[in-house]
Amino acid sequence: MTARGSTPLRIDFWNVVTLAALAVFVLFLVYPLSRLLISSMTGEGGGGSAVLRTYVEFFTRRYYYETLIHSLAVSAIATVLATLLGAPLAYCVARFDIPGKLLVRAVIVLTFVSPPFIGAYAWILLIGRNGVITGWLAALGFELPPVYGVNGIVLVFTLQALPFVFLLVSAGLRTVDQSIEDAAINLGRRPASAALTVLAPLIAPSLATGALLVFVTSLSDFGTPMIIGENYRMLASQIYTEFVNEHGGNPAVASALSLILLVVTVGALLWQRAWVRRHSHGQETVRPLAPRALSPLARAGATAYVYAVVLAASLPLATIVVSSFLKGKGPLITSEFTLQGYANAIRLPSALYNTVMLSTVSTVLCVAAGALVGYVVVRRRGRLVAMIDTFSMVPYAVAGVVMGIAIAIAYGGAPFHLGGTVAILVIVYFIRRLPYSIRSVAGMLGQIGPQAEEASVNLGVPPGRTFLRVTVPMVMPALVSGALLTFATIAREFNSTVILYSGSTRTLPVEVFAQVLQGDFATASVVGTVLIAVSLVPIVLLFRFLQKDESVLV
Amino acid sequence: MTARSESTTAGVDLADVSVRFGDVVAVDRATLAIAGGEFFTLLGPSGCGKTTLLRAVAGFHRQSGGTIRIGGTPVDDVPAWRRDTGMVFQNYAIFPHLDVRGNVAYGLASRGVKGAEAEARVAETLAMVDLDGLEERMPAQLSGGQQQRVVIARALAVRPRVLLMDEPLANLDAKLRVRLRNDLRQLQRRLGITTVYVTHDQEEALCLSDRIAVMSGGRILQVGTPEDVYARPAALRVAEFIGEGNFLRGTAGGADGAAEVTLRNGARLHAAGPGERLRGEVWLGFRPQDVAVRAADAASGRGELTGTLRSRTYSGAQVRYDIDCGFERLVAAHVPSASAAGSLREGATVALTVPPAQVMLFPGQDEDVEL
Repeated sequence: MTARGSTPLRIDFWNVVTLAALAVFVLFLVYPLSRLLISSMTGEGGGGSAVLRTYVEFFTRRYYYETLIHSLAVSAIATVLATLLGAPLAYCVARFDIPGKLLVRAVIVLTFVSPPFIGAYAWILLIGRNGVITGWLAALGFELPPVYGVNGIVLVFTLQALPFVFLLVSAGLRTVDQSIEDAAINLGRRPASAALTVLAPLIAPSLATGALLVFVTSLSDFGTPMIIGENYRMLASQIYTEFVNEHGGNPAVASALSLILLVVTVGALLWQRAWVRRHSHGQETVRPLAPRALSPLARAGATAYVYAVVLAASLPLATIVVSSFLKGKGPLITSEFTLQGYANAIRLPSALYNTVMLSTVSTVLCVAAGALVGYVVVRRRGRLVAMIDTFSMVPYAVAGVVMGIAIAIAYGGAPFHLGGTVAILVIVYFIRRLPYSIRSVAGMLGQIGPQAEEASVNLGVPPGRTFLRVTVPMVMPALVSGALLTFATIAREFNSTVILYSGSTRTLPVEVFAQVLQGDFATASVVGTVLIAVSLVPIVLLFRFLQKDESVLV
Repeated sequence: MTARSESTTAGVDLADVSVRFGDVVAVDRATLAIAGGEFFTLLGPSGCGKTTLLRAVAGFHRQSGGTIRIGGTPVDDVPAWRRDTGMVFQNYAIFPHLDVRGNVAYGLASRGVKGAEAEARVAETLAMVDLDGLEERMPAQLSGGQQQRVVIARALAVRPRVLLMDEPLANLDAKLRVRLRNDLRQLQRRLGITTVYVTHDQEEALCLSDRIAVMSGGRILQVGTPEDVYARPAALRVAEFIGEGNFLRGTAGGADGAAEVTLRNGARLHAAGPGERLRGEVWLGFRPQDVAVRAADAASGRGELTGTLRSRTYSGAQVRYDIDCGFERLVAAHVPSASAAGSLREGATVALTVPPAQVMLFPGQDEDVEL
């Protein structure tokens, strides 16, 4: 029914969309990343003309290469810990009769949408040098190991990444048929043995995807090490420091470091995808796994485990919301109630406006483009479509800071001069979130098949109008939930924003970060609470009015 | 082949077994005595409780009342992983991450059978189901029929006391289903293993079973040999479910022995089949293939039905007629295509006769559910 790659292109609606999609990826993905590569090889200043000078320097000077080693080690440890904590959590919630499951799920979703580095300063408030819990324990004569440095980074990375593992393992468990577990038990295995020998191998792909997300998110997060890491240096924070250095910065070094980070994250993505391809087994799910009854003792144990982990993961959020209503003195929070913080946060209204405006504009663009490109990816064939499909995978593996720098180099200066504008932020949000919109539409279209559209064309409605009148209504649920999710994620976007914002385009996450670095934790909490509320609104709409559950998040 | 050395096959006894899910009674006081070595089928429409009952035997549902015995020993408190039953699931439940050998050896490992002994047992069991040589294949490389053989081998390899099969052939295409059905029958006879088989396919049940329990609405309606349940159904529902039939309301009268039944249109038929002693309000039933059809010019008398031929459906060896005799529903008749009666035209007036021995009667208060 469709033109093959070899036949000449006709001017029809979908060919125009295909070419436009390709143009978008070339303009906003290929071009910026190419400029990043060129920039990394053309640093001015210093001797030596070799294009690889910056790279040679990176791998020979301990000052640089140790950041990579630190980043890999910390991210790997966080990945292992988050998997070890998160997979059993998902299993317990899915399979056992844990009281208050709804609450557990809601809290996990809440931590999922909270801004990245918020855990870092919340844990400082709790168990830092002057932390609340530190104080309580000191009064009892206990002393906690210091939360600053590598310990704190691992703690924050692990807990903030738990939702990825939880959501993906939960989704994986939903694809396993009950009869598989029954068969293992019937053949003489206890439920625990069946879980390890049969369920675990079957959900390995989900587990691997969750682990990849933890790993890449941890590698990309530079807010956390800057806040809680003290002198522990990591690659992403080094990139940020090199780029925004007060003394003019060094784009060449920042670009080279960005590319090294890019190679690591893309490598991880490719390796994960290859691994998943080898380990995934097409499964038919007639009857999904059902919850299993436990003995009272085992049930109490499982409940205690679930609540302990969920409490640890959600403590930072609670800390921020509570401390926003308390009087602050620099990095210290007193126990005095006040609403003054909200009145004192002078930049809060403009940051709130910027966040809502930027998120709305980018979301609309993402969803519209995602619907069209998602259609092309699922329904059309040919070499161009295959290219689009490949391009749409790339942003998954590009860290926010790397994308931010690439866009800054490509569009910040001549000839576009978009630096500091709303447009440059919209561009980076758009290209970072577009793959998710494409995937959600493609997923839905893949399930419903082309018959309804073919019937419409057969009845004489041209392809463009068929798309609007038949396809769009069918994928509307995916579009609406995709839009709400995109809004929530763009509102909390920090890593790329902080590279590209200007005085007039400051967003809520940037404002929180600035306040934390200035040591004004009380104001940071106020802005942070507003940010949490902004990210939460679309999630509440999604769950309450679209009857979705947390499975839409992955 | 005598492979069964460890555990011997065992009978299964159910005494008053009920399974409730909340307010829903899935199985209502089922009592069955399944002999060792017997091929026993639970037959019924979907939702009749047959799978629930099978899963209760396997230990996946704790029954809310009654006792299940395997080999004479109550197993109510034995968890599913120690019941020593071999179960074959409708959707195979093959372990997709293990190769054929891994699948078949899985249950052996949990019984501590390892190394050369396990290897020998796997080979022996795969030979039984004609899969020798495919040890290294992954499930994705196997056809549906081969996957089904793997899970049968997997269940047999542990030498269970009872084989439990839950619609094992339902996912296969028609031809393969018939072939596997015959293989299964031979295998079961050869091993002599007690088999409890669940199906909604009456033909499958009739071909395979030593005995059948027909279930409906959580209850066992009849237990008997295939001949019993087909030719001498104990209830209207059994007759309706097994084979096609015409069921008409009427009033039975007459002296001892065969009844004379007056139907709603005034016609009368003699009934000398099962239930012939019933009197009063009855359901009268007969099979389409027992009906003789001929062209009729005038209304005829007793022992005959007359009507108008509404539709003629040719299906090769036979012709199906749907005839309007003035009842709520049409009467179906199957006639050999080659016979003289096979070439009647739609709209023709026809006379139908049914041999009295083939006419069954059921109590009139029985519910007609059109299964």
